[in-house]
Amino acid sequence: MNIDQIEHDLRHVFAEQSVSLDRHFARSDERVVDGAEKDRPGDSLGVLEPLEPTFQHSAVTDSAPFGLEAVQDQQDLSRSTIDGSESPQVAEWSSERRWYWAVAASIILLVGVVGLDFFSSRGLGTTEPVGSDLDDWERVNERSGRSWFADPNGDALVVGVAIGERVGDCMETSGYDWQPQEAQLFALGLPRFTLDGHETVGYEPAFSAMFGTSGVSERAGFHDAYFGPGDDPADFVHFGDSRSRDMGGCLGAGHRAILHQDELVVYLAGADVLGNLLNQVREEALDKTDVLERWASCVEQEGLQAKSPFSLTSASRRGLSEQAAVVIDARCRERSGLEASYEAALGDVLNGRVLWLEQVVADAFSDDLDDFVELNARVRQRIEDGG
Amino acid sequence: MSPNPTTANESGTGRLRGARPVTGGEVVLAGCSETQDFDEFFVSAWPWARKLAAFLTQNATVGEEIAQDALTRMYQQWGAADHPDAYLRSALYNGANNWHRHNSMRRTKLPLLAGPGHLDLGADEMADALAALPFRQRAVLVLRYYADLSEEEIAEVIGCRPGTVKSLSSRALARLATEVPK
Repeated sequence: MNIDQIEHDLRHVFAEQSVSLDRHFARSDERVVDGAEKDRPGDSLGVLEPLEPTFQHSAVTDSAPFGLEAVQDQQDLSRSTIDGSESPQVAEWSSERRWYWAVAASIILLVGVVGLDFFSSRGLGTTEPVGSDLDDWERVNERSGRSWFADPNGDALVVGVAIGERVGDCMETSGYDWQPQEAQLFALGLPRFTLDGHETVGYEPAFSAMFGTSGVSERAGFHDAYFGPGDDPADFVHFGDSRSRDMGGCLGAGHRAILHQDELVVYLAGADVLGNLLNQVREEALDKTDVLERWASCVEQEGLQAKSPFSLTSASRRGLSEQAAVVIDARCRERSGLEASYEAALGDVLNGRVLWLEQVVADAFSDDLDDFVELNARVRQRIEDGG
Repeated sequence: MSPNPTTANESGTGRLRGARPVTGGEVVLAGCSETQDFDEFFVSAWPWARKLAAFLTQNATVGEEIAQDALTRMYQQWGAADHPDAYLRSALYNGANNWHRHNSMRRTKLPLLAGPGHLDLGADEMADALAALPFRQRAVLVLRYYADLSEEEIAEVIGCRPGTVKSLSSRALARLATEVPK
């Protein structure tokens, strides 16, 4: 098929889909107007919300996360939700897959390091945490990376740090003051901020580096340096059925310094699975607690407006200085018990719902994760051997 | 068919003075050029904005949410954007890009859990091939052939050089030509 024909067909497809979308939106508008569907489910694990009443977990368990009867109920509900799909065989639950979440813990700490997102703000340091519940820093690390998920080897962590260092070196060579985020500054994906740290580097960089609001990632050429200009097909690594990732620029160079091309495909496939699952888990954990509302209410009383620390950036400061925002944020984190509550909620999600989800979707991603874990062990050995 | 019912792009740039739109964080606006009432802008922009975001994400529900977020943030600081349409397009692209990066597995590996917002607009081979393209390649085609933007305008939206847009478009079309049966 020639390009002219492709262009013609593309316009035709868009025109047809545009009409379909108009119909879809018209229907959804009617539902909203009628109030018949107040909370429309989206394309997320939120479709599992109807199962929530049967979800009960208070501790890590090696047994099936639900009794057989409850599982059967869930399967029935799943069948009614998912047309034509086979339900998982939950009775075959095994604790063997728990190592997935050991790796997952590493991934969520490393999510910026391995380039799934922008994390920087070098030098925030290892100052004391702000909230009183956060004094035992080791406790968080231990729970997130070891006890919960029993990651005895930490292979993925070693590999991810090595990649991140190479990416950082490359960016520095390219003229950008960018370094991978130190994993310990993130508690299960939530950035940990400290007053001392902010006094050193300011408030903005940590957020802005994560979300690209300003700072180094806003500098001209940053994206090209980090991802590559995108004009070389080799910069796109394809993996899985139809997934791909930009792997040009320093991001690609850093990965390829540690991983061979065939290993990179395996690595990205596994990291993609874990990164997305853990991101979903984090969102669910935040949704499960009202602590964010308390935090948001607290900062609003102090003159800031943001839904969460993730969205507390310059626009929400309403003219307040960075340092003023730091103090307000810190004070409100302490008052609301933000991170402790978040940690507890995340544990709840991980200990229960995710184990079930993992079983539900195990067939869909088990191969990717099996390969990912094996790869990290092998690459770690190579790194330590100086290879 | 243009998603922009007003002018395609008044000056060819969607940049705000001093800042780019982002999602996931907050929009940083600087400057002020209040030339249009927000209500009026919303009425004209909402239909095409949610469709553009839906095309970018291949998900109607997510597209609607991204458009909602973008317009909400614009409302909060209305008047700061010199060219609201162009600014909104950039915000939609960034929102879709963020969503894509964080949710690729949810779409591709968790089909059992796909919600009703997932686009299922007919078993068209071209549509399927388009949906399977890498995000930036698909975005370039959406912006070019749905939004009718020029290469320069697309470069502005996605934050790269026009040459990169040309390259992305070329490779995307070549891939479609390969994957779609004659």
